[in-house]
Amino acid sequence: MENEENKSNEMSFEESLKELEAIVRRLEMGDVPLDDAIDEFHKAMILVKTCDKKLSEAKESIAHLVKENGDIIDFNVDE
Amino acid sequence: MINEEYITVTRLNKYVQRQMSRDPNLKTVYLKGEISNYKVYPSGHHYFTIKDDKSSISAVMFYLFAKKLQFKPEDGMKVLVKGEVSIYPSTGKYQIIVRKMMEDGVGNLYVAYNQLKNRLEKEGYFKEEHKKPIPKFPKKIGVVTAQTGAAIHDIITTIERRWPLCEILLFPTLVQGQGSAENIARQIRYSQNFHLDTLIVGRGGGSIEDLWSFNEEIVAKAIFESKTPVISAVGHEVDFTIADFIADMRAPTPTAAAEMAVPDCSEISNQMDSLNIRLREVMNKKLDSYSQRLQDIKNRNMFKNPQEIYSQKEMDLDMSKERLNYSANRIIMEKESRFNRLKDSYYLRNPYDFADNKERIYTELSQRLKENMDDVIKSKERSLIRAKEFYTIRNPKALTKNKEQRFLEIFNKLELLNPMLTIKRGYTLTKKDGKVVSKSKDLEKGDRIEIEFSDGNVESEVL
Repeated sequence: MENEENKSNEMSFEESLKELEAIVRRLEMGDVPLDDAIDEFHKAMILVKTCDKKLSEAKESIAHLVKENGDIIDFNVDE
Repeated sequence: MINEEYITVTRLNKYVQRQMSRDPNLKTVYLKGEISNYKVYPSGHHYFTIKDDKSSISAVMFYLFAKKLQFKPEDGMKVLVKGEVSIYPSTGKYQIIVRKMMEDGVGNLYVAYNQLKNRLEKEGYFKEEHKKPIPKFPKKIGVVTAQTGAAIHDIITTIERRWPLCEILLFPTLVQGQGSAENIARQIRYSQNFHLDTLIVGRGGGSIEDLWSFNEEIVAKAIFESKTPVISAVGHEVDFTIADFIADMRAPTPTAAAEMAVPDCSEISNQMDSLNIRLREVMNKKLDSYSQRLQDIKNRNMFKNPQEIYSQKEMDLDMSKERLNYSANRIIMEKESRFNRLKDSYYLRNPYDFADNKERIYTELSQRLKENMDDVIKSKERSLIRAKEFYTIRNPKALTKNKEQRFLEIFNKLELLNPMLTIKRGYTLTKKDGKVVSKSKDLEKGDRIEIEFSDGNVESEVL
């Protein structure tokens, strides 16, 4: 379970969403055996969780300014 | 005119008009000068004069062309125009029909712009095959624009609103004036080192001169060579900059560029919610159907009265055991009794009797065979002798003689019965109508009769 979570954390949001869509579609096809369906469901729930987390955690994107010498400093637009 | 023929003014003007329209040099004329007497008529056509310090020419810009003007012409303004020289037949005044007009000073830029655009297009820089797809869910977006101003502000706030999951790296640059094109190009190249998903290159709106650095070849090439997909975001709506043609995607404003660069969080959230709902629905449905199946199975008798399974089996077992016992015993008993019978059999008890018995039978048989053999031979011999001594065999002629004798006896007897012999002795035979008459009552008086004698017949009549 933790493995799955790590895996889905490592996946890009796009991959996660794609995987989630794929799982839902597969399950909706209806011919997935129950055990597999439960596994898929758990996987999907983890994907939902991590996607939700990613969405809700990043409340503010971080803007940085890259100096010509390569230094990266915080950049605040609210002036 | 050679014939000194006088023609009308109208004909003359028409003639000149025709002549002028045949001259390609007059068909497309590039002219520069100063506007004076500028008037817009209610029809939408613009009438004015273009002059320099020595000369002037009437000019008209028809509505369809005038509406494309990107500046508001005023008297005294220096302009560059492109048009066709023609004559207005009713006044005989010649004029220029303006198709395109721009402010002088900017004009050189347009020429440069068109030349560069045509060259780059010819060299294949704008081809669709070079366009890279813009990642849908970027993690890191670079922005090459001015550090201050509306552009970066709009981009950052838009991205934060729509997709706060991504980091923004600003590569500050001059966006207009001396050295800005080089600065932009350098920052685009520099940004390649930062593993960006998408790069936004642009600035807010401004005049054509303000935007000029985005029409420079050095910027065009930097965008073209960028490994990171580029969205151009030069704030203008009407025309394209060269950067727009080169970029993988073109946005009309920095805000629009930010919108293209990232998905909308709330849309994605909705999408996730609906996926989540679908997921739960399909799972619940699946679980329901399985638990229904499970319930059906549980409801079966086997689970409700499990003892039935083994009580049935127990009974079966009992039956089998009994049958086994029974048949085993029977087999044993049968074998036993057969064995006993055998054991008790006479011959087994008196083994020599059997042989003795057989020997006796044999002796008897052979004795009888010997005796009978002699009898049979003797009787057959006797029969043979008897047969040999049989009379007819010894006297075969006796047989014929015997038969002859017998024939003669029968013949003599038959001879005695012959009626002719009786007649010979004096008897006669009376016949009527060929038939023998043996009784007198068979005859009547007058019947003709025949009397047969031994030596002939006499015919007579009954009296």
